Amino acid sequence: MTTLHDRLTELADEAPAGGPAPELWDRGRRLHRRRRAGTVVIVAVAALLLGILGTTSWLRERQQPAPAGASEGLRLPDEFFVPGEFTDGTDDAGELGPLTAVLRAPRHGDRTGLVGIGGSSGIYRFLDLPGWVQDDNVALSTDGSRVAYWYGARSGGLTAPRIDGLAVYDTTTGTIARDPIESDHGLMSQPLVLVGDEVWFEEQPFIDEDREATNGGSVLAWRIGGEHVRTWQPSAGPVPSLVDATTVDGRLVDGATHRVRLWSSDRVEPEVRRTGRSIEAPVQPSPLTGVYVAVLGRDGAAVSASDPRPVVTLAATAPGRFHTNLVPGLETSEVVGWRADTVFVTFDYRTSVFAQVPMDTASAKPLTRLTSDLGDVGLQVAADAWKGPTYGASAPPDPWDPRLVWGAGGAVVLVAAGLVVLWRRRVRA
Amino acid sequence: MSGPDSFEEYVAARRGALLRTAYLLTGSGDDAEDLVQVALIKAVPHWKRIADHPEPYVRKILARESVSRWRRRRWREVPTGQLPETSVDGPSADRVELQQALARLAPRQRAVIVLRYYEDLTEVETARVLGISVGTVKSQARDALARLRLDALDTVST
Repeated sequence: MTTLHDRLTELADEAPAGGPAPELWDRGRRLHRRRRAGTVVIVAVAALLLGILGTTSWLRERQQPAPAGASEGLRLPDEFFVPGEFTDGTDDAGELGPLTAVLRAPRHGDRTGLVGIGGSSGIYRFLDLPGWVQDDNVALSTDGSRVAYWYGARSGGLTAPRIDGLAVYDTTTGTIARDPIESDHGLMSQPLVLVGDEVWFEEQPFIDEDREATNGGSVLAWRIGGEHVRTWQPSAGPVPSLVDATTVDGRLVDGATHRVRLWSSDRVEPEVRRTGRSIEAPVQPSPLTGVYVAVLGRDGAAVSASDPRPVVTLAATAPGRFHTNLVPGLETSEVVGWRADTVFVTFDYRTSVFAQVPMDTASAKPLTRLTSDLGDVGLQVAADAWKGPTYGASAPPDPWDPRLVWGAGGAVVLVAAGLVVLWRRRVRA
Repeated sequence: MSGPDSFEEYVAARRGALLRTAYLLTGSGDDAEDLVQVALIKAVPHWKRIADHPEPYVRKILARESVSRWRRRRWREVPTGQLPETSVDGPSADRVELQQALARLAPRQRAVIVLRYYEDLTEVETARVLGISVGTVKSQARDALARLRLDALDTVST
């Protein structure tokens, strides 16, 4: 029996003897050169694409800090922006220190983020607030050093989030102070106000699992990191109104219709001052001059909340009374703060422009503006920042989705590698 | 000496043997010549490195090229009643039978058979030449031999 080897050897005897095979060496060298040239071209193109991708990505995420200022205090940009959804967060990039302002912005698609704007740096960064329920009710302290917010479990759909308490974020150290509030079904989100070292909030626990109905309505003052120092119960008397409330000298100011009330956690009863004319919150007090400023109330007039209203200043003339002076020729949506002792700041919803207005001349001059195509982004400017020096602000970064960048980079490398392999296989000498 | 001279020496000495292997791999004289030329041309860029012992590298190109060519060109002989090529004197019946049987094998199976039973490489060496695992070599050889036996080559012993 013959072996397979023997039969293969016999068959191989039929192989051609082979004619002349000229220039094999030269053809091999040409093949080598063509392979190398093609490989170099492909690698160069891939490197160019990666370079363009990397550079563009870097430029988009690069933050242009504010120009150096003479002081380290809060400064005011000449324009507020809404940053990109992939802007850095404080967990990765660190704390910003005292903030000039906070605002809401979309983050990573369907999430809402709270953005802080560095007081001296002007840098935009998402604040990574543990447990934040991503609602509208956050509060920035007057000096930008604290942010109060509700924490709990975010809502999965139409149901309100389940709030388990309130927390205060230190913008310099990143530490969080919490005030857990016991309830069966969580609390309803309500406005928060930072009053000195206290957070004032309304406690409204849900009474059903679907979190649709609430009970209560007591207002509490929580000394940050400590105890509840005051509770105002509706059944026992007047309670502070925290919607559009302002603060002055450690007191909370709420104003409506024909009076302004000043509340302190030392006392149950507020100090009430009659205004003579109907006014509308927020009422902005000037700490140094004792003059308050607000827009005139609508008193049932059929005008929308964003329509401009005349502005009045309120000066104390007698105990419990304000003398009201109409600021001639000025109408605005809201008074938002004081830039100097006799210069207040207004905001016009129609133009999104903040203007500074001297009390004596009433000539409004643009101070800064909000650039946003997202509607209300809940911009809150620290009261002290209105007094700070202004600077020309650059648009914040708008980084690409890092997954997209890495995916595109990987795709370029893979395609280039595939082309190199294909080229080296296909190329003929 | 690692330049064109040693290459030409190698070609002169080994071209015949390479053609025999290539003939078994392709089943065609023209394809065998083409395959050997391609293998030698592809060896040139690496000649400086392999000049002392070029055979394994050239054999590797030869075997892999025979398989990948089929993949690229779907180059697979269709068994017919006639041999694609015959010698002047005409092949013996055994040779025709074996050539047809080899033609019916998948290119990788054919390469395994040629390397294992013509070149007398071990399974490990065959695996290294083809860039596949030893297990694949075993399974491909087993399947190929079973097919050869089915094709009336049962008198063949390995």
